[in-house]
Amino acid sequence: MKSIMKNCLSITATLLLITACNSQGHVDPSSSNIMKSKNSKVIINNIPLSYQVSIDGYDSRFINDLLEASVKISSKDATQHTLEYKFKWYDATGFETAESLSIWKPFVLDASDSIALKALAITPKVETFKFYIRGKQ
Amino acid sequence: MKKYTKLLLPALMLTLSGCATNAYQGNVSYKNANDIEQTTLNFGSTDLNLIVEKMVTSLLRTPILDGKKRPVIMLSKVKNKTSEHIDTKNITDKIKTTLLKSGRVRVTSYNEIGKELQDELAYQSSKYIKKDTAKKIGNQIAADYKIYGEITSIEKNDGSNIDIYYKMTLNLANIETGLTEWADEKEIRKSGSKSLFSN
Repeated sequence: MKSIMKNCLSITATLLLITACNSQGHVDPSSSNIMKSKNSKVIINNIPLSYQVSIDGYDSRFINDLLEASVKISSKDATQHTLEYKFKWYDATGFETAESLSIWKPFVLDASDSIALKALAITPKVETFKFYIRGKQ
Repeated sequence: MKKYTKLLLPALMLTLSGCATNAYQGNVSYKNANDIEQTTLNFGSTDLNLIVEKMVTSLLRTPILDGKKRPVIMLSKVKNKTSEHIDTKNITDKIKTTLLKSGRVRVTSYNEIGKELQDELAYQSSKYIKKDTAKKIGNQIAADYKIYGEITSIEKNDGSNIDIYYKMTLNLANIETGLTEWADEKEIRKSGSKSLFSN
């Protein structure tokens, strides 16, 4: 029953872009450089990093009842980028869970290349995720 | 003059060592433990986190940890085959903690504190402990699987550039059959260059 419910649930994913620079759009004053979606739909925040990197899509599935998320990133220019990303996990009530594995991870995006960044939640309580990407700090 | 020099030098050394220990006072700030640290090329907290994240999520994908049963796992020490000091117990402790948080496994502790558990059970069997509260000998749950592994490194140094490659390999062995039911590895490569003023 739980697996059926999970399959029927629309998995909302909010994709956020964070850079080390201030964003030029509206910024949540409680967390600088983060733009939050009010209706929890997918948004791509067009702040400076996005001129060099684009989020092409996302996907999710369940493995052993655990949510696996995948976000595809592409380089838009002829420069190699050193970036960092992380996933955050939320249960059905919107509470963040499994914080210990919400770590920033470095990766290198080669010029004009694309990569699928994946992560697996460690507990079946996780229903949704958020994805963050930033330049090397 | 020589007499004063003999006194001056130790005094100067004491002062400088005091300065060294106090060097960071006033310049200390708390950081996010999950943030990336890039202080040196040596094995650090970020490498530890990356390894644990890779290994635990890989383990959780296997049919053995599909949530239908909760196997009992024993974690043994990871062998350090690198040229630097790495407290590998940090790695196994973090793997144990994260696996337990998943709720998919049970972890035995008799390989770590077996003697202490035996001593405690023996004491509980003594006249000092109320009989109906004493735990019975012979009820410890045997482990189904054992996790073991090693971490190795390859270092390349041309005098001005340094490249270090770490590889952590972890295995899950079935204790009864001796079969390796799961294995995975995590590779980390770090590079850096010497600054003009470093020795």
